[in-house]
Amino acid sequence: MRDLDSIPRRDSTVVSRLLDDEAVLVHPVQGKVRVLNPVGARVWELVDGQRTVAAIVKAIAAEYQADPAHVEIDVTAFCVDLAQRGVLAFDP
Amino acid sequence: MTTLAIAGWRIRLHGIPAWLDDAMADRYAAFIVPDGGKPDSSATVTLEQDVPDRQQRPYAVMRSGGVCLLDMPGGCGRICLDCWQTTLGLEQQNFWHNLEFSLKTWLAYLALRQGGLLLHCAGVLADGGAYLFTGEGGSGKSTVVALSPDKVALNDDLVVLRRNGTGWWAYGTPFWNQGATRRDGETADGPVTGVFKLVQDRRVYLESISAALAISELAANCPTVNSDPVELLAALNRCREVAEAVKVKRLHFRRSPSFWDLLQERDVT
Repeated sequence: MRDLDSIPRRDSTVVSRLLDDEAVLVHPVQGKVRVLNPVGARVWELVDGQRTVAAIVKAIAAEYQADPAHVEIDVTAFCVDLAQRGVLAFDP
Repeated sequence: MTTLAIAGWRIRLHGIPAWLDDAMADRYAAFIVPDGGKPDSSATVTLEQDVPDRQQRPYAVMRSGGVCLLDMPGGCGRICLDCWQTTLGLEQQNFWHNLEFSLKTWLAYLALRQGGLLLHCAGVLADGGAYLFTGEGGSGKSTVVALSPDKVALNDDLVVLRRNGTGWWAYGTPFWNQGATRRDGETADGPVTGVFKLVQDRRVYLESISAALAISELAANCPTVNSDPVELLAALNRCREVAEAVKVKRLHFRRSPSFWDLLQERDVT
């Protein structure tokens, strides 16, 4: 990820399901199953291959009425973590 | 020719070498059925010449359209997921392991395609209900079976779930882990009382988990199909169906049969 204008994109092989407020992600190639908490699940929902990281930060900050500066740190770290786990990648 | 019935599905095996007759009879005694009638599936096994280099190959399952290709140390195979015909070429070395690997793979796909699920868990029948125990290697699945000598075990590694009316039914399989706890010749089935993820602890107690965690626990334990991109969505949906109908909880336990008191005292359903 270069900056907040990067666009996160879900790995095409990952299958996910939203349940209540949480999300289950299964990566078939890795054979890994992950559960995202409600905020993580909402970020995952917003990762649609079109929104930038900045747009996701803005949406989360508004929905949770949280400090955008803190949200930026958390969302960025979360997306980078998912990218390191091969669950998503960044464009460009 | 030998016909096995696992969870009600019949597979007819052709070409099993005669020197395996005794082992087959011992290990699969509870699953061998008369050969009459049309089976749901069949497998033709060819004994191949041992090739040393092939023994180094890892176990692998690959998809090619409606066909599942198997690569094994000393063998290869092909399962047609439409007609359920399986062909296996197995060398003498590792023959038994490779045959079981192939049967487990076949069962994982068949169960999913037929509305069920093959679950990596230990299963024990108590009070007419099936208690299923999931967990990573070393978490205590075989131990749970060993700590239940007065109860009928479904298996200590793999159990099949099939829908039965509005609930789920658990069926034993012959695929016991190698070890002292295996109970060849024993099988049973029963309505699923609950699925319990084993957590080794000093205290014995049940912990509720969220729906997402319940589904993730099931999804992490449906072998083969959870790593097949083609089947994964169906597998995840099936896990959701199971989790909606059956309680999935964490069971904190220590190496003692005391956990049965807890399970049988509480209304876990």
